[in-house]
Amino acid sequence: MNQLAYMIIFAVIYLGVIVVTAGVLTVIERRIAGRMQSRIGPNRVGPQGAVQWIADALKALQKEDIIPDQVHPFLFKIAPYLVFMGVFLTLVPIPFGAYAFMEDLDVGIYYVLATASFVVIGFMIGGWASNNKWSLLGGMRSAAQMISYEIPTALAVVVIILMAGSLNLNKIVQAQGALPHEWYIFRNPFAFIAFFIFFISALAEGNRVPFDIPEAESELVSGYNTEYSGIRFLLFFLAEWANLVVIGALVTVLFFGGGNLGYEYLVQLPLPGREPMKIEILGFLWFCFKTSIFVFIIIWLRWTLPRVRIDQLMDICWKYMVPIGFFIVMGTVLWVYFVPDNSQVDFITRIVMTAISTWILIYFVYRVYRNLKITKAKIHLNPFI
Amino acid sequence: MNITQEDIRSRIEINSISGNEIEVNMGPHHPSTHGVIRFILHLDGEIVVRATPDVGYLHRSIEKIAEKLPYSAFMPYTDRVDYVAPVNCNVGYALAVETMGNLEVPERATWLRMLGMELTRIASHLLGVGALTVDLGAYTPFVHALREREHIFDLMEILTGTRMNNNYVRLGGVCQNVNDDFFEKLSKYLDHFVLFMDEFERLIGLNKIFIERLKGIGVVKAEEAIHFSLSGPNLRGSGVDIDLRKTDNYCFYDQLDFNVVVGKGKFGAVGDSYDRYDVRIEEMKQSEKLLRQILSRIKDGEIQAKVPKKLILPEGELYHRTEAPRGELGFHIISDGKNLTPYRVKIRTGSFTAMTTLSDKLKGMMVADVIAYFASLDVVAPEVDR
Amino acid sequence: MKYSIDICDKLVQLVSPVSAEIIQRESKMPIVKVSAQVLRKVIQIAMSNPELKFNFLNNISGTHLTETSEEGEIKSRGFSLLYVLSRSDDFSSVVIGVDLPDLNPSVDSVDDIFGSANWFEREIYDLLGVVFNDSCDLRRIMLPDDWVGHPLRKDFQEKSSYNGIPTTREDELAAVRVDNL
Repeated sequence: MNQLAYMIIFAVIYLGVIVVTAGVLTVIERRIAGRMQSRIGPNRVGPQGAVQWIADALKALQKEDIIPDQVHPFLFKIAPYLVFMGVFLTLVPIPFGAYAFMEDLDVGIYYVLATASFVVIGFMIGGWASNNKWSLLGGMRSAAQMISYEIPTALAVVVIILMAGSLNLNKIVQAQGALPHEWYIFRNPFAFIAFFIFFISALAEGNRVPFDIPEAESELVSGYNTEYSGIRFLLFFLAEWANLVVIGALVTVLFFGGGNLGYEYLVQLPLPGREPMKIEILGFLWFCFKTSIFVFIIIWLRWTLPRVRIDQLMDICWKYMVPIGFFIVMGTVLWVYFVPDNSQVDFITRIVMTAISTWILIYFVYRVYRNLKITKAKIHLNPFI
Repeated sequence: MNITQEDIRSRIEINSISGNEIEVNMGPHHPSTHGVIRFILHLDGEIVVRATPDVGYLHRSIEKIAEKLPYSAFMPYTDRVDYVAPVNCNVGYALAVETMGNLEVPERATWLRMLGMELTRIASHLLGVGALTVDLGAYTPFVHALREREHIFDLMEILTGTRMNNNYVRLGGVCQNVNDDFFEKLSKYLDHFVLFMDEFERLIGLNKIFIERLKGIGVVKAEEAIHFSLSGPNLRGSGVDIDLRKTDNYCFYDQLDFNVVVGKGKFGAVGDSYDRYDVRIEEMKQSEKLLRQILSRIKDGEIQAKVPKKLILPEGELYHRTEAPRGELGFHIISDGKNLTPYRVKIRTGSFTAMTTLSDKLKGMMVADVIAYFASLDVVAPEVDR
Repeated sequence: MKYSIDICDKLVQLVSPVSAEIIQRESKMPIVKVSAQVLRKVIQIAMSNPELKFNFLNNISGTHLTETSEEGEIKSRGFSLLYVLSRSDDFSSVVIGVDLPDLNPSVDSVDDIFGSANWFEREIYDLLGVVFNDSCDLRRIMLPDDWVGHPLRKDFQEKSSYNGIPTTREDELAAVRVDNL
């Protein structure tokens, strides 16, 4: 009984933290979007607009609960909760740092992929139950998109599983190291490709631009979202932003050694209270830093790229991502078989790949700098204007 | 074009819908900025089987109002014919009345009119291109285009007195003068504008997703463009090099040197949506060139000639056309020689004829392509409905 | 503007058994006037004849011709349509006009010759009431489908209500208007 109460309290705290994070992320996204568009973004409510999301939530709570006339009442009401539940469940096994996770599941990554499919039901039900042809179209498109893109996601994850030898997310983190050349992304060229496949497919799973057709405003007037207002609409929104955190966290854990500070004792199964608090907090902050970089990249992509058309989206998935996915799985199988860990070849590959990636990153920054100088664009780097 | 009467009649069957089609309404309220235009689409899955545009939501009966107002009092109404490019509509109407009544316009006034027209052309194309990008899902280039429009509005405020709906032109000239520091500001802005166009093209013009969304969509071949009376950038995007500023020499365009921008099929067939987008971008650069030439040629002088207060045009009719940013803007004025008010004013706009291509072209497209094609035509509702 | 009297003369000459006269000869825009029965043929010749090749339709406009007596009574005289065609190579233009009678004005439609003619004709039908025979689609375009009347006519009187919505309002400021003081 004690154990059950402990788990429930812990789950409620976790839910609260994730909701607050998703809310703050909406404000951060709007400010980033504003700065990219030569304007400021919300800065009135609270210091630098930090409390804007509470204001939005309170406003939505006070709205009239509009349920259109001929919808299916039960399904209409339950759809947002299904979507939110689907996103929240995926956060259970993800290790935010050394010991900050809800439950150490042995089938970690498999569980994440399985519960991430819950949202498909939510979107389909929301679209169909709205008694609106545009919502139906949006729901159908969304379902097709998400189901299709689960396959490249799973294939990219299989690459990591092959390299780590376990489904447990903690073990995957511990198999990597703290330094860049020990991260899985630079282990072998197939994992490098797997990172891009995973990232793009996760964007499509989360209905983010360039794959945000289900919520495409100009085409469908918000697709499955159209008939929802007030707190139900906010739940869809919150689920989408919480999904951002999930994508960022998964990418960090699988490819970038999330939270791993490289200490030897982390090889053993962690128990609460075994190691000093400082290391745990440092690991957690390191994880959050890496996750926030990926969240920033996702937000950056949203406000830069146009939208892909639905048939182009399906083309990308089935004609390009899935064959490449199979290719990298085959390649990883051969690599793992022929190249043992910590051998010469392994080490050289890692160093070379890290060097190439660092060079690409520096070249990218240089190109941006050069373009800024050519167009004499005025940039204001102060985020607190 | 070999089109028979039977083909035409079979094109439109209004009230029939077959079993697995759904009828959707892309209704007058849109999140996109083209105005209140409604489409009734019959969809078979994702493909449009039949599309019927339904216009008239912005009909303000401007032509009927014109019959009750004296010629000079109608000028503010011409602003609202295309509120994105008001000075162009003003000049079109003023030229029509002046040609019919043989009224003189001083030289400085004509240069100032051309200045206003080209500046408004840049602003209008910015909005057209920005609306295209926002319909495709890229929000940032649209806001950047609006920011540039704000700079142009600042300049228009100095030139004409208002930001939008300028009401700048009067019969016989323009309404207010500017002094030289406006020209300095304009010159500085043009320096900045060239760099902005470079940045804009790097941001969205060469983006792979953008090109894939637009190339090959809504290809309008040259014969089709002439058959459907497309004009302006839509016609030039299909490869026909007709620019009314060069063919009908009005104002002082024959003294200036600029190229007629024609679509060349940069990424797909000639006459697809990317070509129309590209023509608008290049036309903005040509307008910038024109503005610099106007700046170097404008001289001091009067800005409005003496026009009789009670102007009565001689009996007869005239159809006068100018090149507005959206196509050919024509004013057909009929005067009965006795009254202070015109007998009939008919306004012919480029967006109206661009809408006529829709029933034909939208068949067989996907819903996303409908949006892309319609946005590439740069149609605004006030021009269609007047 | 590219109107020239020579083009009009040539057009009159090439449609030759059909009678056409040029009005407004000395003005800036000479108009070739034909009768309603031969309009379609004239336009067809203007478009297809290799010496003319006017394959771009600029405008179709319609007018309600009336005469006003001294008491202010409006007497309708008929309708007049104007077709402006241009060549697509140098954009020189010719203008063809038709006069239509007052009762049941109708003329043949040209919407298979020019693709954009249909919308111009729909607008003229909607606002003036001129019927275009053999048109592929003659419906109202600007006004709602159940509107009664043709507003651009000079003698158009609005109905007092449309679908239950009154079309006039009581003048709330009547007491303070200058005429009533």
